[in-house]
Amino acid sequence: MSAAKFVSFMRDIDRRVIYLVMLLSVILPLVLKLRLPTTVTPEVRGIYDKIESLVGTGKAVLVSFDYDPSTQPELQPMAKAVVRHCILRKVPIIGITNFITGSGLGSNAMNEVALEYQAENRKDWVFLGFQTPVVVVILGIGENIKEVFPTDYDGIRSTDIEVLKNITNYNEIGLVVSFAGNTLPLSWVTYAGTRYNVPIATGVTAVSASDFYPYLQTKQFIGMMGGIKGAAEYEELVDELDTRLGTLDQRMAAMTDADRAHWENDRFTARRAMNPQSVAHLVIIMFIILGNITYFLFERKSARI
Amino acid sequence: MKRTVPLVLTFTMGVLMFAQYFIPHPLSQAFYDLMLEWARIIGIFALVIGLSSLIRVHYGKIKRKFPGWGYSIVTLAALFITALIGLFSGTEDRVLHGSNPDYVSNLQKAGLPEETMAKLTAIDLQTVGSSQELEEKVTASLNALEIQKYKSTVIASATKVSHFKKIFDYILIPLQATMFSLLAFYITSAAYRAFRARNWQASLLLLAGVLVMLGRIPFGDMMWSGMSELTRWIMLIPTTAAMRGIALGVGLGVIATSLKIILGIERGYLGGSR
Repeated sequence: MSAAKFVSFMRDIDRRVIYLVMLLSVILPLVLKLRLPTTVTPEVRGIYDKIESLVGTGKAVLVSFDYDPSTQPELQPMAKAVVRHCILRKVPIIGITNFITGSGLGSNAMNEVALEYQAENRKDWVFLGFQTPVVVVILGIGENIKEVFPTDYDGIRSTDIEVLKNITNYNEIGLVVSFAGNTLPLSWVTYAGTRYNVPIATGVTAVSASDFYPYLQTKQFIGMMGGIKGAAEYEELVDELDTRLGTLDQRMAAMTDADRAHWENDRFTARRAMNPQSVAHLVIIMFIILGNITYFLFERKSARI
Repeated sequence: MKRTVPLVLTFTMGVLMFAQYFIPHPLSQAFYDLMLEWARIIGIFALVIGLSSLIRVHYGKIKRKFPGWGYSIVTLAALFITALIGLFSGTEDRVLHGSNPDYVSNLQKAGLPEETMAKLTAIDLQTVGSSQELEEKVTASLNALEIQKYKSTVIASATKVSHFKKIFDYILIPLQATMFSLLAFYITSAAYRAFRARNWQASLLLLAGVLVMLGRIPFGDMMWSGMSELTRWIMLIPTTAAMRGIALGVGLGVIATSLKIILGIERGYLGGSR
């Protein structure tokens, strides 16, 4: 193929060919079980270290599942990794959501991790469900969480819930983690962080991460997980901890083969998803380079003429 | 009168809430708590208004046969079917009775030893109403090793997932995830056709974009060990500088708009054409 023909082919390339290449770049790494290394960044380690500092203090972690199913593939694995960390270290954990569709996701995330660790609902953790409006919920927790959420997700009265016995407001909460595919984490900074001095961390989609970096630099967020990469990093940290404590091997050895396969799969969700994402990034870069080659060889010349 | 009362209310509440923030007194705190309760109640009414507005808009589209009115039928049907299933079939998972063939066959499929099976089928689940009670019964019937090995399997076997939850898990989640996933294809096609180094600003944007994309994946560090650090620098310094400028602008805009609303200059929230 001559250079002119190649340029012409590239210029007129059908978008369906691009879609097909992208599809293959996502499917093949999954089929071939590609395994790439994970490097932990300081932003993600910040959240991990904060939760580690809460071990044995009695202070709880409040997790807000502020997302819907559209962003679930990125946010659910990171939320589960944080829940897993808290349950593993016996840090009391309270789940809430400011999105009605986050109710199912939050409940699923907490129930599934609790099953793996045999953690007891309402004793080690609780999911309080959905409440609205956002600002009132965030400010209300600063006064009394049991008034904002009179019952948990299953309708059990908050005053009867063991894990909430010593928790009234942000004074007993050591960290708030908001997982969101929108700007809700900023509301947590404005209304909970600024007014009540509670540390805030966030987990966001990769595409919106740049919006939150200014708050990371000023330490208004003590840490941040961005996209599936952030989730993969947190998974790696929790797995390392679980292995170091000896609890992972012990738990896996006691499971049936089916359960073991299920949980091993579940623990690797984000790290497995990083593989197709990595190849997809390379494919996008390749298309950008090819597009620019075509531009410089053909379109730019035409524009000059 | 229709306009004066809301204006006076807005001004009074705006000034009081602003002052309250700076007054550390029990009276101020009590006022703040009261306002939070009021806001919660008013917020619930917003949901009712939202729902009625949704029905009105889509009913109108169907009635006038607007282009794409078929989608309005799907929207309303989804709304009512989900609500009806939630109301009549319940939103909570149901616990199967101990003698229920589904429960017994689920346990058999899980390949539990006979001794454990005997203990589990002996549990009287007739009176168990919630998943919490089920968990307690199962925990009480098994020994420590069995709990660790089989508790999750038993609870899953004894629970029948509600239809409401099935709608969420098997319809809503895949639909929304699919819509979001399509972005990858559009981004690739758009990047190929539009991401051009036409001038130095576009070239700079292109270079930064490519570096960040490389730095966010393990391949970046494989090519050059400093790639992820370079990406962090791009995100923490130049990106943050730009985003902070935007955030300050937005913040000043919010303050100005809030003042205009409190002082009655901005009256868009009152509705009407003027």
